[in-house]
Amino acid sequence: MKTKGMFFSVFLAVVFLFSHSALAEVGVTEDSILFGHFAPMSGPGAYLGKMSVGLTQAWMKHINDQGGIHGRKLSLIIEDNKYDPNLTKTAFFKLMDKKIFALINVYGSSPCVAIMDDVQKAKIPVIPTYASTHLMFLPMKRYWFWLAGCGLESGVVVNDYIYGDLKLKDARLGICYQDDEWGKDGRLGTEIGAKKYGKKPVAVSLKRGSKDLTSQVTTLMMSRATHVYFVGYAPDFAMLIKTAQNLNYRPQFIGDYVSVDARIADWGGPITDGAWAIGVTGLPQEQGMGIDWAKEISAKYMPAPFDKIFIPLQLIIFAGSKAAQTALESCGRNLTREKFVDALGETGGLDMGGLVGKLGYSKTSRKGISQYRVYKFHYGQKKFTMLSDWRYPSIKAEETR
Amino acid sequence: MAVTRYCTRTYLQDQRIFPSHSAKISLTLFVIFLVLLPAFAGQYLLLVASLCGIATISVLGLNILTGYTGQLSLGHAAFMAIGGYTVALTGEHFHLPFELNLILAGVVASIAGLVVAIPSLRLKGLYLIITTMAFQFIVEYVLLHWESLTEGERGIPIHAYSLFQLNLDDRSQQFYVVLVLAIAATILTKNLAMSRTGRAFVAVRDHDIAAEIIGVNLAKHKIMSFIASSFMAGIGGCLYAYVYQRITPEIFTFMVSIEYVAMIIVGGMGTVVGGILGACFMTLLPQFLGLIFGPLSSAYPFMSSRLGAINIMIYGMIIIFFLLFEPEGLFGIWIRIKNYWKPWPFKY
Repeated sequence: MKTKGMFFSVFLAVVFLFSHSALAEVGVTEDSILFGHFAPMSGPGAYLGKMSVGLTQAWMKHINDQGGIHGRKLSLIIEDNKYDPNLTKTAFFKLMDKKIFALINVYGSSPCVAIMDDVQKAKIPVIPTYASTHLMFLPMKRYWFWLAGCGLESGVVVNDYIYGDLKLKDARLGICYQDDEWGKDGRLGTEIGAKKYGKKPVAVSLKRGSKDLTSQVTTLMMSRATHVYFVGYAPDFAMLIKTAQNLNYRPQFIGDYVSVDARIADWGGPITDGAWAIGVTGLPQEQGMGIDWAKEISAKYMPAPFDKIFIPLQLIIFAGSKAAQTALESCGRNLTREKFVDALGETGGLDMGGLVGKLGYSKTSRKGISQYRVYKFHYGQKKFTMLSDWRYPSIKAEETR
Repeated sequence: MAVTRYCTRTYLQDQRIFPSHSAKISLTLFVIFLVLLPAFAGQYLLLVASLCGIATISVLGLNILTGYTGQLSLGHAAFMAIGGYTVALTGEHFHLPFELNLILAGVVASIAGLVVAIPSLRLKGLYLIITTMAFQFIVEYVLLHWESLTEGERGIPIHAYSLFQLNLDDRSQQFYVVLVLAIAATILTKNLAMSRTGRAFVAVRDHDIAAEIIGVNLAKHKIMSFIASSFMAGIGGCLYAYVYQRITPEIFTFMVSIEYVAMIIVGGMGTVVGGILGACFMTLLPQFLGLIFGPLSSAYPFMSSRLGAINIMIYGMIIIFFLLFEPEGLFGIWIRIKNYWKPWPFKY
């Protein structure tokens, strides 16, 4: 009897052991969830990489100080991808070998495209990607959650605002775009939007990391563009405005969502006053539950100057983190990647408290952002103000396919 | 820079692939280690090992052109790109098998090599560098802007493929294919270097006028060198495409060409072992630096941009170090280590 009892106990122990290991998800332990992150820590995109790493860690510290999510603390492994698709590939596999649960807050069109298929194959959720190309959500990829300004739709919004809202019939639109997937999306959107109003924009490209934009400005000037839409990094946007000033060319400059960055005042000087930008986030000076939450975390966990929200891009990272947090909370203790992905798919319409417009995730869509705003920069106050409230582009990215 | 072995007394000794029994045994052990690698390595290590193999194949190609023949090229990545895009396009449109794709990639790249070689016959030194650099930029521009063919920056996905019943979608099986081809490329280059043609290449490199006087056909050997080099680059590019499973223009930028030149400088120009050492060293270096700086970036995110810059600085400093203090590269260090241990425990 005693032997039978012992065998039964051993049997139960083995069953428990195996059932437990069968339930355990990669990257999830009793008391932790491991996330992976890659970002450029050097090169032209490093200023964003530094911020995304810091903000993600601040959000995690905030969660962990409150006891974690369902008793599990969040931790992060970072890889420097130098904005290089090759290094992103190795970084991704390195993170995979380190058994991450999911990738969080990653960005860069080329790096993300490089691992697009690997992520799908490995079934690792990416929440979210800030890569600005429509390839991230069209066609829908189950494990990729996109949250950024879509270059294509931003281009349409520029036209909607100039020709639709302001009815500037004589305006001649030019676009200066970074010669990559993000920039090309912007060019395509601008062309599609302009076509709707019977216009044809002038397009000039720049190589990422260019230090001189004289030829681009000269082309735009020769074509008599009255409005110049720029798709690229904020420092380059400021450089474009400065270069134009040096050539005595003063069109209305319009940046894309990355250029909604108050530091353009430092990079470009007083000439940046009055520049417009197409934004996808709220503004730091606005009130809102989400914005207040972001401000609180930044003030508590971030060193200066990032202890204050001054770039709406900071808000978008908090928006992504908020969506991840909501999904993790709704998954309960029994956390799996598939459950997490399903939960993320149900965060659509979630009130982001002013961080971004309406969150657009659903079972059939991974497009987190569809609403845009037009902003104006005030050099003296070093801040953007709203020119037009949340709006949808007249032509959506899905309709262009 | 030597083609022939150290301390050989007969031509027979000089023409052996393995210079000694110990070399044969150590190389065999090394190959056994590589064969067993997938048993204990994770996906990341296998990917990095495959990249080392691909870099080895391509760098051996560049070594034929630059190390042996003395023709400086800054367009090696462009030949790799041609090989890579060839398989992407033939795979996409004609669904050719892997082995045929592989050969095709090499052939198309070598045709491109021929196109560059013919106008470059009268050029050398800086002028040749500029020509190959221009070729690199042209290829980059075409890949980026001929979107109807290359899909621009988003690139072309490479679909699952197989070779003799092996599913090469799997990282370990991919690694074996790369390993076999890297070994084949090494043996081929070694043989080529020791052949009459290889010695003619070296003659062209050392003094082209003198080589011509003793009967070496300069044009023929320069063209042959370009073709052999671009063929191997094409094979490398093809494997890159298969390993990455998506090919984009950003994989084969001008910086990659620079890196390949750095590989032969760091490894040691005009030597097969040097080429392999340089390829592995330069492929592993960013990964190794990542091992150090990755955790540091995680721990101190606001130091991360500085750490990134230090990372790049170290990379540059290593190249400068080799140029200034070790012109014979890792191969030179390897030979010195060997020579030190040969008479051990005696001093001489």
